[in-house]
Amino acid sequence: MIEIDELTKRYEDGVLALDHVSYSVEPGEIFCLLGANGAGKTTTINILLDFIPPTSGSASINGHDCNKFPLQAKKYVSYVSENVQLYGMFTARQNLAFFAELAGKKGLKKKDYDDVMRSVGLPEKALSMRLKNFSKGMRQKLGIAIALLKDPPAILMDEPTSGLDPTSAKEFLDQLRRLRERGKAILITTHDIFRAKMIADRVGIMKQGRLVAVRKKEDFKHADLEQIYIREMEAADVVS
Amino acid sequence: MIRQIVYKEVLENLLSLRFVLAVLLTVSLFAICGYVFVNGYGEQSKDFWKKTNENLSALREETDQLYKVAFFKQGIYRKPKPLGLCAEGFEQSLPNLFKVNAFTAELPATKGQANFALPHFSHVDWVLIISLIMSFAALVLTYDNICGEKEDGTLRQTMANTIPRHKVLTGKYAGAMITLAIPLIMGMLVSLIIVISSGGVVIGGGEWLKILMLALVSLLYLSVFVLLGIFVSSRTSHPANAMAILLFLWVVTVILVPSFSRIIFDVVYEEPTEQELQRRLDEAREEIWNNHDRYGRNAGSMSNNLSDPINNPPARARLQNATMDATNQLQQEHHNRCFQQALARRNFASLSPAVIYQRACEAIAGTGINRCAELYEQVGRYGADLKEFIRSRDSEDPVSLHLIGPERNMAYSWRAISHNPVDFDIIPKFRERPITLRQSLKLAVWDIGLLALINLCLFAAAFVSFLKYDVR
Repeated sequence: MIEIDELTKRYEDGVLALDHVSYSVEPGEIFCLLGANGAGKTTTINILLDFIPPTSGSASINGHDCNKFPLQAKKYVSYVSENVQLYGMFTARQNLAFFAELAGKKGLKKKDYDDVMRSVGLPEKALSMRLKNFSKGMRQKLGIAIALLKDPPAILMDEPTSGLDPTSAKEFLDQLRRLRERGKAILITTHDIFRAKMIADRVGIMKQGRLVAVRKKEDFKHADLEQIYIREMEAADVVS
Repeated sequence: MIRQIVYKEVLENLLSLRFVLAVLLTVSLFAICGYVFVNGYGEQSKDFWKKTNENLSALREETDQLYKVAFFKQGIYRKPKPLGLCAEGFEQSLPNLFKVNAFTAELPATKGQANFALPHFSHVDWVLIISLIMSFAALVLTYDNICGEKEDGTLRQTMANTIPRHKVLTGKYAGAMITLAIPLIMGMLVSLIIVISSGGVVIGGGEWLKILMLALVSLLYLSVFVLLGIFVSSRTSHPANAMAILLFLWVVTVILVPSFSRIIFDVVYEEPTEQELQRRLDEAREEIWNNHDRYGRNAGSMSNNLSDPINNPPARARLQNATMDATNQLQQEHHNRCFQQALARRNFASLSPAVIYQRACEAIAGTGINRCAELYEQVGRYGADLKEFIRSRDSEDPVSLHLIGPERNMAYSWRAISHNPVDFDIIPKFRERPITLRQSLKLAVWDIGLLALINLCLFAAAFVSFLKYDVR
């Protein structure tokens, strides 16, 4: 569903953000990209959303090249950012309606909004609340609700659990599991090794633009993922 | 998808404090404008009709003898126009009195008002409110249109969807225009309601069409600032920077360029003076009188006794007519130079969209310098019609010498023009022909085209800039 092939990005100031990175995320899979700041995780998402062009290589969603046919590719993906920023003066319903219509979902009824709010764990009364009164956790949940309303086969999440309290984070992970059960291909960038271990089917470890390792669930299910991460990072240092 | 962006933009603006303030400010200014206009218009109308009736009464008193009608200098006053509400066109400082008889139309003059200081105060009209206040409101509504959304993170969220950038830009533009149209239309309606309900101002069918045209041109003008706001917003990353740049551009284009270009123009170009005109008139008259023989024997001499052999009435009439023709021509040239200079000075300031907009509005409303020049032409044509009337009535008098010349003494002593009475009702009276919508549009078409061109350039610039904009 999400294909990254020899993806390279060198910024105008010469910084190499991605260095021939390749991997894929299949339907019904959660792929977590781990790495320090500046490892190239967000750059990958920016290329997938056509916010920036790649220097070489390709990124595609459902077979559509994200750089050559961005509008086609974006039909099949939703995006949840680190800090879901929506229109503060609008109510949750107005925000949902706006982004749903942008995603091509028309004629949604009150029941559709109520259902999606319930499924992300937001009270129905929150629909008529202005976003400026939402906590960060509530905004993240609404970001998921927007993604659910679009109902695409792929979802990109950039540091989605950052800043969430433990309860909200747990609810968020439950939501991700449900999405996986519905066959969504989910790419998550995160620093949060603890939660990555809980939710990921595979993890990719990035360092300075390179994908230094990819580990399956079986590799870290009963092991310390943090140790694996540190080992791979040190090994990458030796190689480089 | 554009519809969703437009809806979102309008809703976001309507919920903002800046929109509420913009509505309050503009609508109250439009209301004040209407109220001030009603009072001023009433005074001016009363004054106009009083002076017009005085002029007609004085003309009636001259009807006992035809030649007196020919020599009577009628004072024709500029009628206040209902569309002065929209574009006053600095009419308070333009000439308001045109003196004319059958032989000459004097240069337009200004007849002082009761309070000499009043004309020096700026008149509040729609053009002033829109060109200054609403253009600034357009920038306040759009300065963070793109960079503000980037800073908030909502632009990233929006662009993660399947919406092309040109649709986002078009939607944002349309949303800002709809938002601005609300205070504009509300203000205009409030102003018109105050004016109409006063009962003292009658707005005719053609004028309603002109008001509609003015509203459309106003939107075209405001669109320049909306696009400028979006363009600058798509060139910056922070709303504060965008606002600072836009404030600078607004001051330059709306305040500095109109003021300084006029000052520069006045320094560079020499103004035709009354003294220069007088010198040229004296030279022309001297040249004619020094060569009076070319108009016939004894053209330069005259005795009140018609049988005196020194008199040669036809030659004398030719000489006096030649002198008057030369005077009229020089005055016309002087007037044309003054008019052309005024237009050139405005054209010099055309770098400012505010000047272009003001010029277009005056052309549509039929006010300002163009109306003044048109009125002077109409007065000149009226003088020619009056002369033709005198000639036709005079030809019916067998006693008259039928020498229609501009020398009153000749007309009186020699009966060069008929001394018969004339029916007041059949004397042509001056009536100002209003500028039609077609004429107005013809005058305004270049300025409207120029505003459209500026819009096109800014839209193209904003489009290219937004295509390259880093939405991260």
